[in-house]
Amino acid sequence: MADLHWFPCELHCHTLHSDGDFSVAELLQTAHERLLDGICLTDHNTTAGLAEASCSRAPVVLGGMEWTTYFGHMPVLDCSAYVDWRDASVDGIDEKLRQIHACGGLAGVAHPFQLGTPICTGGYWEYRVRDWSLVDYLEIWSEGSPYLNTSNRRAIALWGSLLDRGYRIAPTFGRDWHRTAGNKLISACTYLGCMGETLTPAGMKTALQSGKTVVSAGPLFYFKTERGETVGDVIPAGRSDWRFVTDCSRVARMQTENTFVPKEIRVYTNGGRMCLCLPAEGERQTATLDLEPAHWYRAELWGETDGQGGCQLAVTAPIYTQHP
Amino acid sequence: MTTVLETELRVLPEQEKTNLILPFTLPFDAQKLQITYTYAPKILDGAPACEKAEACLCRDAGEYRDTYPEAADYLPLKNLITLSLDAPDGYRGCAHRQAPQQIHILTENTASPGFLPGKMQKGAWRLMLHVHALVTDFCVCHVKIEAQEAENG
Repeated sequence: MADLHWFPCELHCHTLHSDGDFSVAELLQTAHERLLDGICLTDHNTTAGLAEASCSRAPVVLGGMEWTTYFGHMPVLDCSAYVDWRDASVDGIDEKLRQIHACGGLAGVAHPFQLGTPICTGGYWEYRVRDWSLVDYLEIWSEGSPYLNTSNRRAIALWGSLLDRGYRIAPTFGRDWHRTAGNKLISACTYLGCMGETLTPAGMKTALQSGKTVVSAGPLFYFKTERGETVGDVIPAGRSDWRFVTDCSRVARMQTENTFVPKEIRVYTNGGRMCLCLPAEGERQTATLDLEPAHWYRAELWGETDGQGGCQLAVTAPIYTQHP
Repeated sequence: MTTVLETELRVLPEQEKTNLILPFTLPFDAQKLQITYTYAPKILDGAPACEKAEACLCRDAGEYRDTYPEAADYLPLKNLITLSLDAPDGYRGCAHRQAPQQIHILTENTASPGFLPGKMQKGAWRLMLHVHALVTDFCVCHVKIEAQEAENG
């Protein structure tokens, strides 16, 4: 299998076209400075900024719109036609998701456990999704402090419960980026795994669709099997040799004030059970796992952030095993 | 400029999380459309706001309430009533932002932030107000839409 390249991206951005402080040009410039290769432009309920942003190449831009409704915020990406966000009802969201997919779009759930109205209007996810296979990705980390944040812990728990039910949903980080002021962990991003050495909007979309995402406070962290299978793939059960890659070079190049010290690599599976834990040592490590059928397996990098231990540094999307 | 819509609405808390639809007709193809929109009051502070913020925290944080700051840290609470626009040929965007006084101008080639430029053909248009939050006893919205006829119209 050809190797994927992992590109740091910010999937949740706002500009003056909604309630961000950035002009489109300022957003693109700041993303470039933060060594982000791609962004999703997801202004609230409008795609007006895309005309200016779409010609950008560094970063590349995948167009979208954050449905900012009364019952939840839902980034919709690359939808070929306008689907009306304004009449979405708590029990009618599946139909909206089908319409979005019929137009080639992707849909994610943003910050599902943010406080809602009136503190952050509509920020708490109240939609009753019947068929979670209609949701392409779930923002398990929102804003910049992933590991000390109740709402993110709840989002990760929700994601785990959906994985347990057999849904394959890509995890994402979304800074919900409105301005530079107050940004924490400026290296945090979603790494998207794409074919080829150049990121394209289509490549970003394919990565999200195929579950090739890694949520990170900064370090790039992923795994592949000796057969070359990786995050997002569906593989046979049984004995599997994995190689883990930990790469802090982007964080080093960013010269941020934050420090990350990897300490442990863990693999979690169904029910949140940890099935592997090994000390993090160097850029490449190997381990052998015995994979059960019809399971999910995700890797996590744990360690210190700014001298504080017990922090999640990165979470991969799962690899899935085939049914017997 | 011809005024094609001017209206004042008194919005009540029970209308929170609803859309208020304001249809209007452009009697001619226009070269410019100007929307002037204000609403007041904007904020709620003090004990009544604290009570609402606490209710929100208890509802949405639930058993994790204690990991969040005090309700007072979320004050003042704000009314948020945003505005979106539909032309006869479809959605023209939205101004999702906090400012309670807004002016939006659309022409064929330019548009205020949040809106899509394009032809402004005569016919049935629609402005919609979205009551995202209504924390005060009432809120008065004033909308005025003016249009300038296209020279070749």
